Amino acid sequence: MAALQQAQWLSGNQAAQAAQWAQQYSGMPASVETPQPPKETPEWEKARQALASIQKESAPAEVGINVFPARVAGTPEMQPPVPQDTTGVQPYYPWYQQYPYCYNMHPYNNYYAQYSMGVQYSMYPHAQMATQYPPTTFAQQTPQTPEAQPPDLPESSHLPPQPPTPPQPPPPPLLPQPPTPPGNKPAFPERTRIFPTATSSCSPFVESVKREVKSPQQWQKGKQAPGAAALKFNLPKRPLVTSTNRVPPQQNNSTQQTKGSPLTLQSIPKSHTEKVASAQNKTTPKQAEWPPAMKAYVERCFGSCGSETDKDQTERVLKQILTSRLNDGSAYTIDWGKEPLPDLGKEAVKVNRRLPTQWSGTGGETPKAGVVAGVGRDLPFGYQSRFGNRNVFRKRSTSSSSSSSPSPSPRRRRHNSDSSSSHSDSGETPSAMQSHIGRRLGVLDRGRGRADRGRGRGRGRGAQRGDMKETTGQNRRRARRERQWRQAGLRFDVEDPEKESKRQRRAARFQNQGPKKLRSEPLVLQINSLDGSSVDTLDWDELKIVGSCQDITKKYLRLTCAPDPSMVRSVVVQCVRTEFTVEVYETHARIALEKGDREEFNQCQAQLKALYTDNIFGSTNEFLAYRILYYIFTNNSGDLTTALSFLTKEMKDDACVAYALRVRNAWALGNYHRFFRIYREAPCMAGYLIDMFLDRERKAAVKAMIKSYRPALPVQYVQSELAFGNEDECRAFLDGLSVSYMSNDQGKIDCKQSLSVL
Amino acid sequence: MACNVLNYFPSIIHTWPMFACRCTRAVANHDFLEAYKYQTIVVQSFIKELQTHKEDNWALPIMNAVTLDLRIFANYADQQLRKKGRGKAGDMLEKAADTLMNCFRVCACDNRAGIEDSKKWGMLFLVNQLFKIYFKINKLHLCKPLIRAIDSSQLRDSYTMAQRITFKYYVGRKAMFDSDFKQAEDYLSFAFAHCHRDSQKNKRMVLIYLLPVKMLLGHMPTVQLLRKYDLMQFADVTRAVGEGNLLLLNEALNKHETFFIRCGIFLILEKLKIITYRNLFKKVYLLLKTHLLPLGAFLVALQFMKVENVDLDEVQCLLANLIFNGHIKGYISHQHQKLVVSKQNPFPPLSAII
Repeated sequence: MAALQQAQWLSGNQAAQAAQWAQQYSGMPASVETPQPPKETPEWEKARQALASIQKESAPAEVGINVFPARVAGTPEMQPPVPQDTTGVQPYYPWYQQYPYCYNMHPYNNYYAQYSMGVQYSMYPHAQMATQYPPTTFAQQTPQTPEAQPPDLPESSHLPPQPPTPPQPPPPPLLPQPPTPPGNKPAFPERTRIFPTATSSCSPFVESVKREVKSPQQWQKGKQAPGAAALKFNLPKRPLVTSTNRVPPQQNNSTQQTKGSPLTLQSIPKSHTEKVASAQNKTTPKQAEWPPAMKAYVERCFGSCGSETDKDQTERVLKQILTSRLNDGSAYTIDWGKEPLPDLGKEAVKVNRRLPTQWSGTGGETPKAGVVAGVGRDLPFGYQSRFGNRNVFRKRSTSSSSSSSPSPSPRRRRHNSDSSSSHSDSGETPSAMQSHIGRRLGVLDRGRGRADRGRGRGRGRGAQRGDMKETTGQNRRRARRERQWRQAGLRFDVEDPEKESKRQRRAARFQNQGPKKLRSEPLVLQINSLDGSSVDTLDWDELKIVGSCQDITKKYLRLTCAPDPSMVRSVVVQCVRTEFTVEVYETHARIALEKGDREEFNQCQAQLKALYTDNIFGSTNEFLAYRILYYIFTNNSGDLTTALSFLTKEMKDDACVAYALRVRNAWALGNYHRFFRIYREAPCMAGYLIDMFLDRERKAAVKAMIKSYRPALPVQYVQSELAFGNEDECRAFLDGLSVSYMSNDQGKIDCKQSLSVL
Repeated sequence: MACNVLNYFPSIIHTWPMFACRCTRAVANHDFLEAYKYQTIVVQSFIKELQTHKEDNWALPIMNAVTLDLRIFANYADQQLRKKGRGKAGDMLEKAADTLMNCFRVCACDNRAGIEDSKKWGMLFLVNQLFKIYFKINKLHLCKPLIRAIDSSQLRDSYTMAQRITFKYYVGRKAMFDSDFKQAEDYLSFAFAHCHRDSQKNKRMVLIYLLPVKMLLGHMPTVQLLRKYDLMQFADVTRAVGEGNLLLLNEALNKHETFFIRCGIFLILEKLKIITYRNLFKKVYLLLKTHLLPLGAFLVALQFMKVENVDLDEVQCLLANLIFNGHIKGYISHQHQKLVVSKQNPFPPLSAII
């Protein structure tokens, strides 16, 4: 239900934002970028009108739903500061409120927080979808973090609506021509990678959006659009951890940025689209909700037109596309940069619909992203497609349940893998893409590729891992390549616009293919996809989380997301395997024993067993003895035999072990006399363990006695034989068995009468 | 090993050869982890294929080959993993068992085909493979449904003798661990009796479990038998139990403890002590020639056998257990500190008891 609500809310919001942003932008671009619209041909005029009409159609509806009417109406600059917005947003996600603290109240430095956030989102590409939510959210939310660390939030600085600390001029809405100063932009290679934006122009937005989006709820929303099933997975917090280690070199991005010129810029007469947009603005302020990316796309389309007829056709086709896109809201979510240029035929429309699946949604193109902008704008062309998130998304939606749990049951796992294997060959675009990605990233592909194929099998992790794995070096290389492509694209563009569109599509097809040297990798992927057991070939060492939680106690909280180090506490989970760990577990086990918490003890001793086999020693023999006793308790003769087979002479000489062996001996032969005699001299905590099955043994002993003694058996004898502390205790026990006593002597059990006990 | 697979390859199944080849290569490289992975794929592909063969069971021999390989590779992979210090013991085998179970389900669910063409003919082989795994990883409780499936199958007695023997062997062992010695004796005796005379090794394996069971039931093996199957470790045990010689029994058990533990029968043999007590006490009875036996007499006997720290209370305890289990007919008079035994047949033969 909640999901539904969200979705609705979202769409409404989206529209609102979009409108808002569009407004902002429509105004600005004109001034900043293209001062002089070229002369308008009648065709252009028509185009504009058509587009305007589209806008009119869509705008009112959206506004109606809008949650933040004020926003829509007013310009962003005039908007009231954050607080009210937040209130507006939060009610919708009350259950999330527990989470924000992870993000916002971080004890870590701001850099860390930012960074982690960025990574986080990058991991879940659909997070981009999150862009759907209102830009306003950003504005509001940023403040939360800023309180702690205002200067480091580049997003906020870019935000036009936030006057307080804008070190930079508001970013150009559409195209990232003017590179933002490198210093301002935190370069997060991982993030960048992940974000699939076809055109470099769009990417920056994405970045910023990601960053901005702080609370999981938001991108949950985003997720919503593609498939409601996704609800279960929320926050990928894990990446934070790993990412902290890698500080992205800032120059990386900046260089890219400066050098790489977006292909659209030079080649296309932007002015045209700009004009269209601005014209619309004039007609109705509300209608300027075009996402910049979409504008760029329109620009590109027209730019590729060779003749006037072409333009006419393009206009027609575009109108169709845009109308439908705007109507269903996908205009804000799809990756316009990737959208193939219309083929000037029916086909084009179809292609558009099909290829860029609605939720391939690189949020990058969304308007708000544009506003916030400036952060990751240098995203190289092609990243987005390479990291097309839909696959991830799809996986998520199909097998949400299994992937949500850290260790899916083997059966289910197998099942998953089976189903995935059948799919994997069928050439689904997304999965193919994904695997390409994997190949390209090399190391990454083991984790990620597998994740792709075996649906839902630790998917999040795989993806994450990919993120972590990618090094800045790779990033740089790719950036270079991307730049080259872009330049090449530009050239083509000038020469032959048609060619450009083809080229783009072709690039979309091929850019994911990795270099030859990694060819052997796909094989691994296939295996994994088929092999139900592959999960643990996954190298968990890569996914270590070093927890930092120091609370002594904490509330039980179901793990609904990747663990956040600040909440991780258990030593073993933290991957701390040292003498200290052993000590902790031993102590814990002892306490559990003392409190008679069998389950807890069992966990501890199992863990200890593993630790001991790793040659981390503590009170090894003592716990070996406990284990033997525990096996007696569980009547596990198989494990007992195994345990016995591993005993060495030294172990047997240990007092505790020797004791346990004696107990076992007496127990095996039903020698209750010996058993209870030994019981009294139990060393260490062995007594507590024996207590667990003391009653069972007593019962058996009493049965044997009643059967074999005639005519009577003194209670006192039973008491001493079975190690009762006092007669009352003994009597209570016997009464529990409904033993009958001699009529003439209550101190004796009437064995014959008591045979019913058996 | 993996070559078996290739031999069986029908041309219709085209996806496997690659994996089977890779698997073979991995085996050649002694990389059983790889081999296991590929073999899993082979088996899984096979299962899919098998499912499509409605009313047909010609592929069963292939199934046997691929599943057998899977188990073997899993076994080796497990060992290799352990050597590297990674992974828990038995992980690989458990996964292999999962895969085999899939296969088993396909076979067991084949109800449509006529008995001639039913895939149910493949069940027993798979069950046996699963037994091998479960016994190795100490998960005997998982055997139960399999045993039930076979026992309720009408083909139960129609499978090949080899498979039936294997099945009986494992079920017998399981019964032994469950202390169901009568059934264990039945099954293991069947296995021993029907095992091919040239399969000395197999016969010996059956004997290792059959001997303790038989002894618990009062049948002592001859020295010739032990010698024939190179099981002289049992010789002293046998003699000690027969004589009621507790001292010798303890020595014999200690001496061959490693062997017995490795075979998983140490705990069973330990139960022979009870039989030994019974025989010892019977001797006391025979010596005293009365049915009113003072407990002190037993104490002397036990002390003579160098039982540590023994006292009258323990004698009572031992006697109580023997009476409780039916080894002695009689009762203890706590008041008089005497054991009163039945005048008729106070020590019934062991075979009549359990």
